[in-house]
Amino acid sequence: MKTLQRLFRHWPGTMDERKRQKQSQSCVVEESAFSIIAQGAFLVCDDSGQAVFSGAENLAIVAGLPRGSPGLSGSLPDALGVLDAEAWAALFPVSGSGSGPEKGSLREDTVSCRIPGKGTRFIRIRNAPVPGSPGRRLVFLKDETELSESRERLARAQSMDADASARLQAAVLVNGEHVDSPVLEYACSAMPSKLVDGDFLDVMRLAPDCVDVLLGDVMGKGMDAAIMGVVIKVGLFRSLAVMSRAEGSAPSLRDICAATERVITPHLLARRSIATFSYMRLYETGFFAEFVDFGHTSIVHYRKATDSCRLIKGADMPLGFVEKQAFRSFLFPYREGDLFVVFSDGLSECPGQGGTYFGEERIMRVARSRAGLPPRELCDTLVRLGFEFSESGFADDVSIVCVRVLKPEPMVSEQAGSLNLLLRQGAVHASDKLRKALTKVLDTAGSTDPVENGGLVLACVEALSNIAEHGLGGLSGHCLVEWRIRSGLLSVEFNYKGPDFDWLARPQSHIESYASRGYGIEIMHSAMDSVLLCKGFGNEKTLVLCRRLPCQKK
Amino acid sequence: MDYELTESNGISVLKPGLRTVDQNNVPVLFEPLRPILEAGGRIVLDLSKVQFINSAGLGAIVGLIRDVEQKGGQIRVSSPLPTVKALFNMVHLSSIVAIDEDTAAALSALARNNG
Repeated sequence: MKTLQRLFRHWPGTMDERKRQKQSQSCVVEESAFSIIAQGAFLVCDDSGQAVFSGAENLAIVAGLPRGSPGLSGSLPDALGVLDAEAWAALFPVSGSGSGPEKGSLREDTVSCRIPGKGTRFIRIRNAPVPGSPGRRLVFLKDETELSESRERLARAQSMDADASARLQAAVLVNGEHVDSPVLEYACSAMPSKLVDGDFLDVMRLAPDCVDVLLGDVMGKGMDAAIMGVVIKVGLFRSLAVMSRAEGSAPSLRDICAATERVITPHLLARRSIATFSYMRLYETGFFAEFVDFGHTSIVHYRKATDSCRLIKGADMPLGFVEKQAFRSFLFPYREGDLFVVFSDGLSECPGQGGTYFGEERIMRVARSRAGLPPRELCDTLVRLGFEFSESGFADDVSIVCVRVLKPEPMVSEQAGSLNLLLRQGAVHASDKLRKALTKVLDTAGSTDPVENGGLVLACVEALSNIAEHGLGGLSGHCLVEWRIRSGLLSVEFNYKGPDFDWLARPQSHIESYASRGYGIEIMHSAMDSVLLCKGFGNEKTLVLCRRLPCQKK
Repeated sequence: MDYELTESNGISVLKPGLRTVDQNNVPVLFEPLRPILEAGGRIVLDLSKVQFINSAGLGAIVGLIRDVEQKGGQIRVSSPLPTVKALFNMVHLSSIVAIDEDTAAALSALARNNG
């Protein structure tokens, strides 16, 4: 009995003990009470599924005959009017054929049958051997026609929903006028999944010297997610439309994001939904980017000069997590030949065989190995590789924007340099070298305010000391420091290899507690507009410090 | 260590001669002040010759301020150069110690406080 209960997942577990004791194992299955409780029919037949030994009257339940009717006569497939002989043969394989399932195993399938007076029905059939009765199998039949029809109706409804969502997505969420740029070449791909999950993207120009790239993802699927995507996009554009701005300039990213958050968050909270998005602004003259990241996946940045890749990731939560957050914008420089890949998690979290994901590192490898491709081809390649990687197509929308940096015309003057420093305990000599080099650069092209320049040098020296102390995991190592002053932006990048360290968390001030150490990170954050850590392959890290210099020496 | 330690009306003035204050020299930087500090004396730290202080140097200065206050003494910092002033502004050092443009102003303020 217990064996049978294990074999049949939905076997009724409550059975009157008196009856159970009175009945033999074969009698148990003849008990029509089981059939009534399980809303199906139990019977015992031979291995071939032809001869019915007991429970034939239970077939009446399936056949729709009045209770108490004599059992149906003839073979079981005849009684059921089995139409799908192949399915039936798989359920009751011929003995010795060697190709069927194990004799002792539970077999189950849904078989289409034409039952007199009821038309075509879908009968779920499960069978398993009766313990102690060789050559006999216990069969449970259940008419699942209505369930199947419900599923079909649901699938049709979902398909219509998906079609409408896909049309909405194509028309509103991923469309945009192509933006011409003298230094940026880009392409977008938007591949809705089977159920569409509300990805949205856009590329737009809000001012003569910058191009904005927006890519987002709404939690959920279907029309609900698509509508929420539209709500966010409309909310963002509406915020943009009413924002005041100086002639020829774009509203700041922080202002745009704050206004969008104000408009959108109530909708998301009311619907218990969230949305992630990445908003990146590429400055075409300054050759630097600024971005705000509402919990979105990383941006891949390929640097041609060093043939390296890194993941650029912010620190904020998705929209809809909280009513208001003090989000941060980050700055980082780019150069001629660089490449950006902005993507949705439909690509990076695309599941493959064995529980693996396509992953951000694979996207970095693809970007590096195909860095020479035009953005259109790179987008298509990523979509194709993701699709090939997936087991059964994309389970999630896949949206990608690839941006390549072209040769700038005319060239803009810049002050740039680098130092490859060996960091040992304390990094005293390296710090001194860096301090002198940066002091010289800032004296020439830095801020007109010497106090500001002093703070910037100090912040960079502190960054180097902290890399020596925390970034290298207690070991000696090299750090390549690259700096550039261009179009009013100082950027200093520290490239090293080491374990993870939280550079983004701005500590509380230590001064009130008279602490004698722990000021380095605070100094970095105070002096700089942006402190960003990017991860590359393995344990490659790049710490990027940036500061706008509104009063730059000419 | 290169420094000048002078006294004016019972107030000690320490002027380090170092251009840089960092982890290399902080262990001995304030040693000359130990007896004055232990006696709860009044001190002016004149930084007019220091061009660069890093976080380790800052930590040592904060430690000195804490020790002086614990011993019942008084301390003011004077004459920071612009780069050093930038550091003090960033960490809001003025929230725990008075910073004067020159040593004369610091001496005068300490003399007034004593009166």
